[in-house]
Amino acid sequence: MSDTSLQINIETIGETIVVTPNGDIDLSKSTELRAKLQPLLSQQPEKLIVDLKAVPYMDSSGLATLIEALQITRQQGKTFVLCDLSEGVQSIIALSRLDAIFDIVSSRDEALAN
Amino acid sequence: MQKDTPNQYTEFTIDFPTSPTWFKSIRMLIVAACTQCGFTDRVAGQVAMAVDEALCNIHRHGYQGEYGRATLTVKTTISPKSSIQIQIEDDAQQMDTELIKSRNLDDVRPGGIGVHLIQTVMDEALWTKREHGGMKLTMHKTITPETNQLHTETSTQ
Repeated sequence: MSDTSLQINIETIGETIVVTPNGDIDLSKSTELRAKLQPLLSQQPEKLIVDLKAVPYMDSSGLATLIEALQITRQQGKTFVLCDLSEGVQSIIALSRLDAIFDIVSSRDEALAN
Repeated sequence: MQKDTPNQYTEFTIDFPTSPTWFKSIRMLIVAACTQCGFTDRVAGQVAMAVDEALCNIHRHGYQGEYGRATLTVKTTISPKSSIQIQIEDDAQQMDTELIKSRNLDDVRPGGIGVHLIQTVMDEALWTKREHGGMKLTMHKTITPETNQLHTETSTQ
């Protein structure tokens, strides 16, 4: 069984916040990511980056959390970027046809630079 | 896990609580079964995702987040083709099978894509009502020379 908490690192770089979850984001963990993102979204940073290099698997509840964050940042006129997607996360985003909806870049450096 | 010899037929059944804390273990089990019968890691991961989405739906909609149980039966064959057949039975609230369908993905909003993922990944997914209560989902996927490549291409479209 998997019952450990999802580790989530949060880093502020100027007007940008980088969120780096570590572990699978499934039904048992997506609420933890949502709880971490909500106060960050309330701060209305210019750019919110979610670095997914350490997320080997994400289910539709994790995707729903990211879609919520995307919609909130768009309402705020801010930028929401996903970077460094693992193969498993790339797979579910593509199968859900969300690869054209999210702003996705290959690396954290690219996300910070754009 | 020791790799099976060709032509081997594998079947196992597991009964478990439909608590999300169990789902990662179930995913790992499905990946092992898929790779053993010849699926690539990528396609095996997608089949595991389909099972995961089905279990999430049973937990959230069938048992409405309360304690419940499911029985997972997996059958794999290597010859004449590599294939996996998965059956998930529960004792949860019965659903109108006409209402279990993918939604319009052009409407970008959180939630409601689990059925789409299941139907996209698997060759077939059939929900039926069990005679004495609960639901049964039967899914299968067969490997063809194109199958392993298919979802790789899908991910790059």
